[in-house]
Amino acid sequence: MTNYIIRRVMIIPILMAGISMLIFAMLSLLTPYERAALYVTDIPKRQGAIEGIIEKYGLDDPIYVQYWRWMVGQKDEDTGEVTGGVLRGDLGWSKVGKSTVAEVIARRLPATAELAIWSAIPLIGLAVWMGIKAAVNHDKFVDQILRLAAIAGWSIPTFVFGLLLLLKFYSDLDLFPPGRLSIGMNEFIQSDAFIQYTKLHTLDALLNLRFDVFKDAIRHLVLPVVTLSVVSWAFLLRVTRSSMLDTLRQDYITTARAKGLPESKVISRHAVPNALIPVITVGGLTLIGLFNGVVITETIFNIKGIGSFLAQAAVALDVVSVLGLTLFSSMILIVGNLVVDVLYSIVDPRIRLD
Amino acid sequence: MNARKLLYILSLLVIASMLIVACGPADSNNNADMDNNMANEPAANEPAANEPAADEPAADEPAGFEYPFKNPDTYVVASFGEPETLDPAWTYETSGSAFENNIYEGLVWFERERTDVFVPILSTGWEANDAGDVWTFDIREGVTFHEGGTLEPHDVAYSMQRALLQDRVDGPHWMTHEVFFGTYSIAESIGDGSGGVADGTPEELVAACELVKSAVVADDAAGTVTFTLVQPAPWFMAILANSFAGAVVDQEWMAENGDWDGDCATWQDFNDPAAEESILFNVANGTGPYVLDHWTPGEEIVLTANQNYWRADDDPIWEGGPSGIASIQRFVYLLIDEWGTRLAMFEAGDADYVVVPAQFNSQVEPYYGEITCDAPDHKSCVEVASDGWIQAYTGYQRPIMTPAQFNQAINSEGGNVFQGSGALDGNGITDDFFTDLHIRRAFSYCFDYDTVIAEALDGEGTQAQGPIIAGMLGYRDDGFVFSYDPDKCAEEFQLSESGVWDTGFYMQIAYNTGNEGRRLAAEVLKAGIEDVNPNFQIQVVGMPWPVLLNARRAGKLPIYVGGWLEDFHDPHNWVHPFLHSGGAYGRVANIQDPLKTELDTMIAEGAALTDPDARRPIYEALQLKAQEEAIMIWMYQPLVRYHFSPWIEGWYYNGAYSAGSFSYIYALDKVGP
Repeated sequence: MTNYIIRRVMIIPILMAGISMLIFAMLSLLTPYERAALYVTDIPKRQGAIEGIIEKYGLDDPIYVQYWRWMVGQKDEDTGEVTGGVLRGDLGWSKVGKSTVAEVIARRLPATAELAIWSAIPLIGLAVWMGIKAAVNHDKFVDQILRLAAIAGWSIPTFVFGLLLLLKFYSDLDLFPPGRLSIGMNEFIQSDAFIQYTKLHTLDALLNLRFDVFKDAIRHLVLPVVTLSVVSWAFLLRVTRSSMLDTLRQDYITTARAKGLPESKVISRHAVPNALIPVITVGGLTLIGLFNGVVITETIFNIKGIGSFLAQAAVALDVVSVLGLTLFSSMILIVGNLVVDVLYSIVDPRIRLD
Repeated sequence: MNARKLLYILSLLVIASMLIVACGPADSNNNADMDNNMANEPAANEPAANEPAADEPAADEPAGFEYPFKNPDTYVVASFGEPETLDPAWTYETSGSAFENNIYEGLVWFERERTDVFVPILSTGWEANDAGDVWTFDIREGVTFHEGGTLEPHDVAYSMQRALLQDRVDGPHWMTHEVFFGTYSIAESIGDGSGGVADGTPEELVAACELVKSAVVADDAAGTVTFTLVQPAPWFMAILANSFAGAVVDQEWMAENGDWDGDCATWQDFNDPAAEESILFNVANGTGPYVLDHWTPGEEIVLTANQNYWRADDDPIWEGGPSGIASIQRFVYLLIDEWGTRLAMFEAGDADYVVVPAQFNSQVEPYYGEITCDAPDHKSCVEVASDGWIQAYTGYQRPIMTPAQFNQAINSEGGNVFQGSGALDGNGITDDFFTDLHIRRAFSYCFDYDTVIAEALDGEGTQAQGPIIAGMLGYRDDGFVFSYDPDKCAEEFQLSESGVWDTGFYMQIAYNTGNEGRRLAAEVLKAGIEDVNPNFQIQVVGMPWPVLLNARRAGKLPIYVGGWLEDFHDPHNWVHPFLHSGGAYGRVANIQDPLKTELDTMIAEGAALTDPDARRPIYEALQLKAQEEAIMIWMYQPLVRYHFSPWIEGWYYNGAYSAGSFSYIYALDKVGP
């Protein structure tokens, strides 16, 4: 397995290069004038303004020149100083994010990660548990209820559900506000009295032994976590259920039952481990999706994460931001898939990674 | 216990713990948990002194009024859009300008709601020569910058020189160069003016810098700064009141931090920087009543009151105006893109002001508890609710205009899908289609102004009377104005010698996708034109902004629905962009001679005069000519509303402020129940 992991890791730079070239090639479909619009948000007031911007940023250079500049950076002819360059660890300046792309990721990832982590445990745990329950109670009342809940969860638009929760539990009851912290708490955590070790507010609050901050952070997490869970667990529940049903029809399950094993052991030892393989795939992808940001949930609940930023950058044609974030997302996807593959072999020893 | 059970239990524990922890009583004052060492905050677990008991209505409020008072001394605005930069010389958008007006100060500022009367700020007085082209300001003593420097006359001169020389390519300084040199960029002052800064020789570059320095001269000993203009500019004070030209920075501090040091040998290194290349991109050092605390891009911008502000308690900025250190101690600007989220925050008392898009006005009207109507008979003067809590200010005319611009010389080179076949054969239009006055007038008669105002603005707007907006010098509401009249529209088409009434035509009208107002305006124009003749066909095309901008620049668009927000409050900033052959709209309208020369001449005449009585007839004539010649379809000017929580006091409307809600926080107060 170690060799397999090493081989997969070594392929990552090649994959990333391919992805970046593909995106750059797609961007070449835009004219320099269209790309200059990122810098001209209103009617140009001065003759030649757009042409000046195109020249300044080299937007009319051949696409391979622009790609190379993005990869290795740009040398100042007077000072000899090289600035930028992905290969030098600089993903470039994000016009939309008002800072370097790396800084944008560093600033926004904690919000996304905190939401993903808090959502993942109930989302995956409960969805799998409910899926198993539904399959074991196939066509019984519990199954029907869970199927109905799954369909409802799958059907309800995130936007509507999130807003309804917000209006009820925040506007009316003032229980669960949007954002990550209250204004006063936000002010406090930026003071010297609080150390932000991870930028995950809940974790930092515990590390600082500030339970008031922890409580405030949790209050802000409740609604987005519930929204994500309800909307996302429906799919995972259905996958788990159908996978379990398939497994329960297998001959070895019949054999296990014929041997006289108690039903609970048949389920837990023979059925669940085998049924979990497709669930791991879907669950892994769900988790990867959460780490890449969830645009609508982040927008409604004012969580300044990766997803909402990528959407803003794409709409504004902020090429540098889109490229940088795409590379970041690709990295998460590749690493996430690798973890999922490794999990396969752990869950099912028959699968060998060579 | 196996792993699976552990996972289930963990999941339930997570949800249960979140609910238990979070469902505890909400803090009505979130600052109350702060450490005692944080200034101006109450001690831990103690309610704010001015906070009412939760179930006790405030004395002056009607029974049933229960609006929470949160974040005392802090003014919270929930909005969208953030600055491009906080460098005032670079800024050319409303958000950045509004922040800079609180952090930086200039020589003068607007007297409360007046847009044409100015009070001294960093000056103590001024005088102009008889010709009106040389202005001398006495610089105030005893003013310190946030970082500790002392204001001196050379700081004022340096700030203006830096702005003129920085002159970014799509920035605001075409206006500054116009008043000082009669040009539109520093590049025009280099050599023969035909090249760019990069093309200048060292001698030419130094000469351009010296030219700038000769126009802006400081005398530290006398305590004055003198500005020499190319000709009298009646709007010079209005420009000085804007942060892009007026904001004063500390020369020594700027140089120490790597910006231009005032040396004419190096200015070109600081010309046309990217936003982030300026040292003032996200740091600030002004003299204003507020200090930049921090800016987290995409999330929030926080200002705190300048505790060393120079203005004494007995020295109000205007009679009855604010004095001393700012009353509001902290300003928090939250970037909340989603309207539903902003509304929820407003209802929960976590925002003192929210931006309400016009189409959502009806959602907040039921909460109006107090209303000030600037247009008394307008539909926005709604009844207030007895348990309402919003302070609403409605019916204010923003200095914004939406016109539809005709292109009198459409570029058909390489084909142009917007003009169809390119011939007047029923399937297209010719390049010079809109040079025909009758056709332009027909389009103006076929546009249903009232419907657009009702649909696109939800009734919150007025029909424009020409390029000059209501209330401004040169505005007239008794002159000729087009109204929706299909008969006259048909008549004008029939009067056209092009034969368009018989042949018919096809063309496209483009708008930038996402702008619903412009889409509706285009659709209404299409409907009005097609109704008068079945052979007339117009296709409305939504295009992404970059694509539209490209087509507009290339001169491909026959008609374009655009918009203009004034830069400074003077009719010159309206007639020049729309009617002058070098203006932002004028140059792509391709107005033909002799009208083009006539308009350019009249605009120059109006700009050269300082006496309002002498200027008035020129601008009135321009206004009338713009209508009669149907140079554009002068569509509408919006009315706007402002919505505050009940705790914000002291607000007033000034049309020259870039952001009505927080352009001058110094004048506001937050008073609890």
